[in-house]
Amino acid sequence: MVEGADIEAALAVVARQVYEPAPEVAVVGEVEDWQGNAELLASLEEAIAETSSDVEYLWLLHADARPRPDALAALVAETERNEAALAGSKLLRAGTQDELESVGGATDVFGEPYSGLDEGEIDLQQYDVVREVAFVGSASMLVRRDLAQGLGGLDPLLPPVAAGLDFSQRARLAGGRVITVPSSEVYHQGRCGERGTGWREQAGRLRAMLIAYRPLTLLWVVPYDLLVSLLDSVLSLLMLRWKPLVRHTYSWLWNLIHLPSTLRQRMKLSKVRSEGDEELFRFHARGSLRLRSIGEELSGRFLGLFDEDQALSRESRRIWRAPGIWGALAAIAVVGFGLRSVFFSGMPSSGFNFPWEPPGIALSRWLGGWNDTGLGSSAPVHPSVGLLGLLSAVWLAAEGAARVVATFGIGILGIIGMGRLGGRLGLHGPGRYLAGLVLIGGPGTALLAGRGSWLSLAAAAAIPWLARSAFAQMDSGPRRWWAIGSTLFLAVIVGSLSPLLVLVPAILWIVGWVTGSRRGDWRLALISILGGVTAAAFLAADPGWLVDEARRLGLDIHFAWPVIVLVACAPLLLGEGARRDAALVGGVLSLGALVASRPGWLGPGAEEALLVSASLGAALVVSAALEPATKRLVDLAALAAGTAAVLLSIVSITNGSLGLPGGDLNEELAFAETLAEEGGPGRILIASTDPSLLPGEPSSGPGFFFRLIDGSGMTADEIWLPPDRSGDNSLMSALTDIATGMELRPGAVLADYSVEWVVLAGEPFRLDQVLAAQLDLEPVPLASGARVFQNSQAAPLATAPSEVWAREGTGFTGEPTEERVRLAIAFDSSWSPDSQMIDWATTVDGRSGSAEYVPGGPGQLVAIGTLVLFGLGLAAMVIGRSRS
Amino acid sequence: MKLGWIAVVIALGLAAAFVPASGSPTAGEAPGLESPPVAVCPLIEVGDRSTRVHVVSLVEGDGRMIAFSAGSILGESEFSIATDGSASVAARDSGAIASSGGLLEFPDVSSAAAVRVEGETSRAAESCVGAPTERALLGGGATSDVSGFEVLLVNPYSAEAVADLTVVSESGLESDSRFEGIIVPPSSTRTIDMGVIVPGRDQLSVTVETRRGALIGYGLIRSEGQQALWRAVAPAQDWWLPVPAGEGSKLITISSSLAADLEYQVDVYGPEGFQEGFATGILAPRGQFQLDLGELSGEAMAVRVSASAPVVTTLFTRSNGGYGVTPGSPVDALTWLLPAAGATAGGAGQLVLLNSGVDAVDVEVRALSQGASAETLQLEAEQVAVLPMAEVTGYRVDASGPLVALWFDEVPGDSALAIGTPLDDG
Repeated sequence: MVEGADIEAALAVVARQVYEPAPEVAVVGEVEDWQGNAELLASLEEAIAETSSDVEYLWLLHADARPRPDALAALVAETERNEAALAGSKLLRAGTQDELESVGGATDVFGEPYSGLDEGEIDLQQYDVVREVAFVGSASMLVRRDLAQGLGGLDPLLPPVAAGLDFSQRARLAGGRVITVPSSEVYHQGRCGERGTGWREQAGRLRAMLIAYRPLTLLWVVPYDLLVSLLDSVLSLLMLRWKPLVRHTYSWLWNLIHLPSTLRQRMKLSKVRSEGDEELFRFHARGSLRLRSIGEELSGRFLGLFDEDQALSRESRRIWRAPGIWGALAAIAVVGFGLRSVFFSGMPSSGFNFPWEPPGIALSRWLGGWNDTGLGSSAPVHPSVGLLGLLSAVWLAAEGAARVVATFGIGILGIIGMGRLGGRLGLHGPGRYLAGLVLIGGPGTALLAGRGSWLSLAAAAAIPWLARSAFAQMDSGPRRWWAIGSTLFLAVIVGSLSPLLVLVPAILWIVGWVTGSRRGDWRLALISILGGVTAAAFLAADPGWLVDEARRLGLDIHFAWPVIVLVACAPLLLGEGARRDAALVGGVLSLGALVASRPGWLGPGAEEALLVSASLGAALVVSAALEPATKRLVDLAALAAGTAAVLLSIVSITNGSLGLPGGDLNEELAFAETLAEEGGPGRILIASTDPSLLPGEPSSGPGFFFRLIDGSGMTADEIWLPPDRSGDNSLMSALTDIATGMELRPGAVLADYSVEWVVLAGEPFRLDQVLAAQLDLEPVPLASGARVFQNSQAAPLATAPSEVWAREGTGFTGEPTEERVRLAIAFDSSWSPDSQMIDWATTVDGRSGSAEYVPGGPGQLVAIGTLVLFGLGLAAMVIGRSRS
Repeated sequence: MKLGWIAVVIALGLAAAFVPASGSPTAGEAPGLESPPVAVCPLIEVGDRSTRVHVVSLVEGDGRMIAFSAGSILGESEFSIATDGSASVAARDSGAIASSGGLLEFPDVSSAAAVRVEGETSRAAESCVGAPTERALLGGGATSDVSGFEVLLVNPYSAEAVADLTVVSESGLESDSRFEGIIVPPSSTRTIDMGVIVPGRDQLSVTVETRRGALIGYGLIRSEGQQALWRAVAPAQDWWLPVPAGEGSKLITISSSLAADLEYQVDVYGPEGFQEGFATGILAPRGQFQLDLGELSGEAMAVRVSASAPVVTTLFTRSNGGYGVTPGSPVDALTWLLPAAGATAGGAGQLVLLNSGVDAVDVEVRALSQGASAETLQLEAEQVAVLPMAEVTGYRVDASGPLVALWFDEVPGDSALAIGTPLDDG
């Protein structure tokens, strides 16, 4: 019975059915003064129970439903022909011109119904095929009598749609097929409110889920549903709709109250259950239909501002139906949340993450200019300096904003890049985007970011884009130029950020070849190696950066990571296809890189590349593990491990600065610039027994680590130390003398190196001890958590007996003088005019009033070569794009 | 093949989890700590008392003394170590006034300095301190029958020093906020008058703990024209202490700064030979033990103190000749420098040498003055010898075996006493 429905009319249309033999009719529910011929029963459960065994099918029909005369016959015929257990009619809205209400449907994993029908869609027989569906509407359904008796009928606590869903699910789990029979047409008045809205329906769907799924499935579905409910509520509130919040609250409360009855229903189902949850998953839509709908509405509203003909809105709806979109959005939201401090307070400056120099200076250093790190060197700067200078220039030298935007860009590029890489490997789900979080916060990158290596994060974000070349085919025709150009372009960028990573595509190709997995054209993998050219001069001048184990970062990956990667990877190897390929290639890359990084036999450059590769491999494994698949135990194990990897990564990157350590060392040491006298600030010697407290690559000193940095603030170009020169050796010797305690006047010793400040960080150590008993370094309370000593005897960076010169760009200027000007920088004959060596330092002729370093050498050639490669890459891309 | 790759991945996973990580790189090895060729002395220019600093060295060369007070450099004097190996500087020549400090820079580490503070009748002497220690102890203090007991905290360095004093008397641990967080600014000397804070104590030991920076502590007692000066020293488990000949009280004080019981043993090198375990016992937490060797004999003796935990041993002499206090030596050595050692005109000076070893040693004693000749002697195992001192300003003693040396100068009315500075561990 349906409240307000005309039961007499309903019985009349049933009586007109052409089906033979004529059905026995019973009315279920409460009817006052029932005078009809049909038997009146109190509940459907009772009706089903009392049905005699010679009845083969039960037709459950709402009193507000008006079936066509052949509706029952069609139902029975198709049910028998398809050996189904449950069949539903095509429902048309009564009083309309054949407007479709339901032709059965799918649901998402939470039971949210998805009809696939547009609002007001007219029945043009476009859906007139008998097919298996997740559920059929309860307004008109035919069910095998034995199955109905086994299942106990519809759940009396559930409203119509949820009841149909619940019954359909239970029927399927009991081994029955659920089909929709479009030839059975029923006009539905909708008095029962079968529209699937309202909190009771929502609560019913949750109950249906709790009854149907096995415990292992519930373990992830329930928290996931709770999360979706929260998101739905919050996003709806943003659109000034409060009802979803109320509906979700009621729904969860109702289910809490009815939990005992839900458990009883589960027990009842378990007696007839013969199928696993995967039988239900076959008919599920991916992701959350609720969130998809909200996303469509949000973008529709936004695009509607500019999109009068709704073309964009229609396109956006298509995008929201893309399987990966929610994964990408969720991952980007996590990155946005992970960068909250950066958005409000700017980028931190610590570890290996420091401001970029002004574009002109950075580019001049990159083009073979003077390397200002420590006491200075003619050795080429890290290849990233040019790229950062370029980025800063693009942002009109607004360095702070450029760093913030670039960091957010890193997050987005990493996520999208991982999604695209997964896509190229044949993965489709949202997991490939969520795996981007593992790329950024995974086993290696989290450690590198924890030490402040912004460049590693940038390299990690770029590497999946380059790695795609390992799986790309080099088509014939114009597209070939696009493939070559984009590979070259990306290789130069990756080579600038972390030179050894240009080998990754080749390694992936080789792994793919050895394992028989998916791989692309080997020539593209080889082209990517050309990106290494950008670092050729840097590596040639300082091979220790790759191979000197004493300079390693010494980052120790947590035991849990290899285990998680292994658990996520191994089960997938039992399968076939894209998931297996991605898991195998990713697993070998990740675990291989982790193994190679553990003994610590390589320098920081190689260590960095290995750790980024470990994250890339782990992300590939997670992409595969999160890819929707069957819900066998092995797949669930991979899914659980993949989820754990994503969660661990989220924890790593949500510290407010994407996992980079907070704090601003330059701000802490700003006193050097503030208190600087004529000639500008001198140098700061910062020392600690904990290398992570020092900016950039630490020098190993006598019982402690130290760094010599510019008093005007550390910049990105100073992160990596050039090879030691005579000045560095002299400084080391001086520090050793000081560390013995023999030196009563350490300030005088350090004065020659222009060390104006000595900062001791971390726990007290030997220098604290010896500097407590000396005469010329004055302790000053200028930094919290560190001990600061001022050296009032420090010589200016550029000085003549009667003149002091100041920094100007990469050189020095001042009043012309007949005297020679001593520059407290390591001697190099390329300083002009007329450079001469005094001890380890440089002197120049002071008559010109300026001292400049004349760029040149292999650094300049390589920089030009890099520009050529970069240009060639761009040109090839343009040609490829325009011709195709 | 499928299983093969699973095996490879599992092997890699296990290796990644279980191959030992290299860990963080370590910094280069820290060099051993060495004392710079400097010494810090208290300079007292009060009333009729004046200070003279005596330097002895194994090498010739130039040095300088900087006098400082209240954060300022008062003046600077240069000196040259002559061929005889000694030099002296008057504190007032460096501008020293009142209680100030002096920092001496030697030409070489094989040098030592000591101060003699002399008034009309009073005499005091003590070796200057080369390197500050975080914890040092002044034993043998008292405020009961002397008119003043002051603790001098000398900070010659550029950093402010903050110290806490732990003062223990026969009454127990003294509690006073003035002992906490005593700030000694750079290039300054701070005087803590114990007679004002804890008057009437017979036994006082003061532990100077430097919380920040570095400083050197000295004790100074005065009484009616008599005075004694001695330095705070770092606690150690073994001590040697020669005791001069003469009448009067020769009080050996063993002081502990440890908040726990400890065992000690005093062996005596006396006229009757070596008496091992002459006194043994348990020292209470932060306790003191006193032994008056003057009651045993008027002859020169020596003691060796061994303890189960670091202690400080101090000799306090009191006779008609006045007071003398000096800490023992935690080491014996082959070479001893005794700056400021020498007899005063009209006084009686003695050099007390202990052969702390078990073999006889040949000893060469050289007075550091132009034309003075070296005196050689042989000391039997565990023998104590007394040599009269000439009117010079320093001695050098070299031996073929481990030795401990102390000098004592007595004039009518007061005396000066100081242990030498060892140059090489025996």
